[in-house]
Amino acid sequence: MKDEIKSDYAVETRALVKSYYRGGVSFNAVDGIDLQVKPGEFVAIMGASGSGKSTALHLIAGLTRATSGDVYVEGERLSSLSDRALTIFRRRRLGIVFQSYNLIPHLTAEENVLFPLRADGRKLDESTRDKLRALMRELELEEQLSQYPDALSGGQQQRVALGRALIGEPAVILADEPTGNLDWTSSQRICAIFDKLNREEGRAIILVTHEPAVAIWSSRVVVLQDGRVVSDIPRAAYADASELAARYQELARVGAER
Amino acid sequence: MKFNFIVSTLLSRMRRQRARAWFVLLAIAASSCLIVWTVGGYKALFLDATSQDAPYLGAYDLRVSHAELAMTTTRRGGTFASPMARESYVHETPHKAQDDKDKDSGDARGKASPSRGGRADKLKTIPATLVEQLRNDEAVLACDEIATLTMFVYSPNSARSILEDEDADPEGKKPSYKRELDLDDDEFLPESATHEEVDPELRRKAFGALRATMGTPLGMGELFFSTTARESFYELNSGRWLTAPPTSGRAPREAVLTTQCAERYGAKVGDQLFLIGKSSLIGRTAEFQLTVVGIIEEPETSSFYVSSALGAELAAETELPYGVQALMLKLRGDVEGFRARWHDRLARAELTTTTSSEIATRRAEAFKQDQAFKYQAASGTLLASLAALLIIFTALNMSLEDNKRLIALYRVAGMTRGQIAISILLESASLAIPGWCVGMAVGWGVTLCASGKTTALNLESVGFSFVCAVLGAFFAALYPMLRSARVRPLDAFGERVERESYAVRIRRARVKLAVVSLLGLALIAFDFLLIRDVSLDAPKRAALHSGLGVLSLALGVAFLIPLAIRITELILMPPLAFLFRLDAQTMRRELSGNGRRVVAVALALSVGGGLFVTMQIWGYSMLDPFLPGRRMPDAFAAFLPTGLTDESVAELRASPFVDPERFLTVAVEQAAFAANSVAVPEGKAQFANVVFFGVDVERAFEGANPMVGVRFRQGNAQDAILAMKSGRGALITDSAFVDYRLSVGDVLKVAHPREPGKTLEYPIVGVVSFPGWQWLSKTGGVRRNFGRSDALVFVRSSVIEHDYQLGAPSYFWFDAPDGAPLSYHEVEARLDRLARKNLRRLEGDSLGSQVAYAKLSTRDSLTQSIMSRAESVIWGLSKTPLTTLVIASIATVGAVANSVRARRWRYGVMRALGVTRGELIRMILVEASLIGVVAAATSFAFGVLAAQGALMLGRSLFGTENPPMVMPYPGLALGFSLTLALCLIAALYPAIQTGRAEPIALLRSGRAPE
Repeated sequence: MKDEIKSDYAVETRALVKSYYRGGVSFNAVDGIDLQVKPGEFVAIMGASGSGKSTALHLIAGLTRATSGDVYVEGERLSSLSDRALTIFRRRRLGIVFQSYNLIPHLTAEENVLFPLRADGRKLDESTRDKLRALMRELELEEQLSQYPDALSGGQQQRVALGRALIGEPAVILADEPTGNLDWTSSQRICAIFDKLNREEGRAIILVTHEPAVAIWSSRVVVLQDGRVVSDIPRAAYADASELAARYQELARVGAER
Repeated sequence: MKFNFIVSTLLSRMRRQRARAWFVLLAIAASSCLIVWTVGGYKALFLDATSQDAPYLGAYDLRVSHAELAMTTTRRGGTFASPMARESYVHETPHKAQDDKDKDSGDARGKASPSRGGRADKLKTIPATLVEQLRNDEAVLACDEIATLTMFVYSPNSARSILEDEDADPEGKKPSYKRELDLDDDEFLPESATHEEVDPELRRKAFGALRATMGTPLGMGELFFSTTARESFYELNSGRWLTAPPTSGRAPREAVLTTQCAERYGAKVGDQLFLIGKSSLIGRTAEFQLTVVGIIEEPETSSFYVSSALGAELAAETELPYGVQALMLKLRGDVEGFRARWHDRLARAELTTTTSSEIATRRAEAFKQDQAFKYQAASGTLLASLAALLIIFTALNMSLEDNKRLIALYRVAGMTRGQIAISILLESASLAIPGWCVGMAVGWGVTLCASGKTTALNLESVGFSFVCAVLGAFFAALYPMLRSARVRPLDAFGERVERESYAVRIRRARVKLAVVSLLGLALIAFDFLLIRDVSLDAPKRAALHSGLGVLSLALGVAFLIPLAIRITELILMPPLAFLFRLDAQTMRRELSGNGRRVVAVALALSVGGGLFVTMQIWGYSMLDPFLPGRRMPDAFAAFLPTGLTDESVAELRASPFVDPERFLTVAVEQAAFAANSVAVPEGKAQFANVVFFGVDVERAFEGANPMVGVRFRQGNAQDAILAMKSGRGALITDSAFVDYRLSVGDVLKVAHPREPGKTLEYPIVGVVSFPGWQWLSKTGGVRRNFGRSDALVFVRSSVIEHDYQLGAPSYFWFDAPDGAPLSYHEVEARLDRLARKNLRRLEGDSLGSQVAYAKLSTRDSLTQSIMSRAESVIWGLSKTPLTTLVIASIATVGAVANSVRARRWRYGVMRALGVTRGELIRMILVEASLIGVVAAATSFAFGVLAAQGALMLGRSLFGTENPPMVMPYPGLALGFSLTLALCLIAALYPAIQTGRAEPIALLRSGRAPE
């Protein structure tokens, strides 16, 4: 595995296309996306259902292969990696958070968080334990370490998932609608954690959402429609969530009319 | 309309879930196949054994033989298809005095030869006048005579090996037998070394050389039918039937073999067979070379057919008793009329007539009474049905359980509970019925191929498999139907909603595990209580054990599977995870977290595996008492027929392969129980005699390291040895206790074999166990008067010598000195040379007609001989369970595949978090191998317990000893390897398929509400 950085971008996609067959007809879920995310940048991807935002995130995460185009993460061209190399790259350099938490039910919260390290064959020495304790303190999960996922609330489960994504100290965090199953309070709490990670630790974050109240935490918002980038809105272009929502509604209306 | 809606919904779902439907179909088909195979196989065996159409008399209509021979029926040895049962010919007529001829010849030689008595054979033959009268009857189209002989046979391979031995001679010398016979390279062994044609010395040499070169013949004496028949009794497989002998001169040296016999000897038409007569190797012996001219299609009997002219010559040469024992008649017209006409005349000569159908009827009756077969068939059927029921239930139930979220969606979308119930029932039926049909067809095909009987598909197998398929489907549907009534709309949307937390469920699971395990132990204990319940007689206990007991045992073992899973997981998962570079913590509950499926797979595989292990352990354990242990001296040598002079004994003792300090002379005699002195069990008449071993009591039994190690089952060694040394005290082997209830304090009474009316008595001072004595007495040449024997009796040698007026010592037991380098064949050749040298000492240079030879039985040769015979039987019996195991593994493919499919989401998460493709595949395969371990452990547990039960029952049911349990490790290793391999094969495709899938595909398919 090559760890050296070959690009200025934390994540870069070039003419990214992902085609699927549905009912015998091919269609592009992602249709030529060019996206650049700098190190330490927090990008939100918004779009309506079927706009290709989750697929784009999955491509960036290397969970599926692109039909054409390239994804570069820290300069590493994912399509050039074998499945094994890609998997190892993913567990070392990427942190992924899902909408449905995807915690393994028969592992405790602590075991779930440590899972990527164990999968990597890393020894759980005292420094790792210290790091775990610090992380769980940060996520306010110290009391829940020995509990199984089904004993945790949705917010707690998502924080465990976040802990799992962060334990390997990834350069990039990818979050696929992380607040989709959470109430407003929990949702804001998660967003605050993302914000802190971005601001204080300088981690690049790509977050897929359709909620303006979540997207507003990012430094810019990329809007997708029919698998294409239709707008790239910098943080300065909107004052608050309602303004962002209005711009997003407008983009959606124009798209629909087209 | 509503019904159409339900059906169309179901069909569309099944179309979408084609793979799942195929797996379920496969499981049901394999289960039905399993039942048809098991039930049909046993039924085919039964029908085959009880067939009324079998041509037992070949092309003949009637057999004329002595009444007692006509009644002989047995299942063992496959002898029913012979013109007469083999047992009829073994010439073991107990309580017979020595015939005058033998006595005269012994006296004429003026020596008290130990073999003087020979065997007290007395054939029941058919008078020549009666044969003539029958031939002259107008209704008789053909009247062919049958007589029998028992001879040792050397295989064509052995024959070839000596004929081709030249190449093996490093110095370019002739092979040993040619050197000894002084034959040229292009000369072969004389076809028959008879008195008239070959110099006696040459004959002696030939015999010794043959024995030295070829070793011990295969088998313990083969059955030869000599006949006047001019046509084959049965269909010719290859070659031709025997040619008519010339009116004068020597009969052609040719033989026709049955197919089984040809297979045993690896013989084909044109091969040469070497014969040595007679079977006991006592008395005169001659050797012959016959050519195989034909092989006949007679599948059940291993026997040889020769012309009656050749039979008479063989008998004359070997002094075997010979005479027409049966007539095979082809009749014109009414068979019953003929029988009625001849009934009185035949009855006066103690003769009777038998037809093919009567033999078939007797055989059928005997077979129907065969308890062992009944129990085996009942247990096998029960277990197969149970396993099939569980496989069908599990396969369908898993499929329906996996659709729980979909069922919830149906509920949300407006389907009523009733509609869902109908849908579930229809799904079960739509998979169960086609699966059952396919299973029946395949099962029928498998059984047909294995047994060659079209009758394999019978009402029982159809019924059993149908009941299992229907019941399995019904119960499989019932549970999800009940569950579906409780499915909440929320289940359609979220993750699995459990009423209790994972931690609580783990605690509850532990309690459940304990309860289920205790229940399993209780069920196993119930079977053993049943076996030991002395208030019931043995047959009732056996019947109960075969039905209720085996079911209870199987359920008990099944209930212990979850415990086995947990233990396997705890013990084996960490090292396996380490070995395959997997994370042990992730793997720690992969097996128990998937409990139901693992139980189903383990159970399915355990049916075949368990029966296989049972068969192996039981078979080898039953064999154990017959195997000579370390307590038997290394070698037993018989010098026949003359025994050894004192000078020769000293020479033997000084031989390099004899430890002079551990050398015993044994005085041997065989005598029948005195009339009415014991109650002879039914069917044991031929065994009702004992072999006496007269020994130096002190050397044999006393001291720190006695030569003959016996274990006292009754009495104590000190008192017994004292009684033997000071009087007529006898130690009897425990077989006499089991069969005749002879115990310490009783008096053994036997009839003197050569003095009619004289009874000899020996107080019994100990009942001992002496494993291996049966085979020693069989091969050691000590059954001097009867072909079989039921006990060995140790008495002081001087008592035996005096009682039976034995002459020169003939039998010797000795241990080899440490590091003795000589092989069996070398030792036997040396002993043979000593025997011939001894004969010269006795007779000087004027060689008479005597042949002297030695017969060697070593502990190793006895063991090899027993094992080679028994293993073929045990492995023959093990074939059915192994086939069952393979069929069951097909049924488990679906369960393993579904088990992997059901966890695709979890695998997707793992892949997303950095588990590589290879690691995932390894994870699935490690899990499969652990399932294999659980299945193997379950098979082993069931096998051990069932075998133990069978051994315990065997003692009371069949009167056998309760032998120690023997673990045949190579066989068990094969069974376990097969189980493991089958599990891995079943998991290979799902593992690779899952490994190849993209992480996102796994995540999506796992979350899809299918």
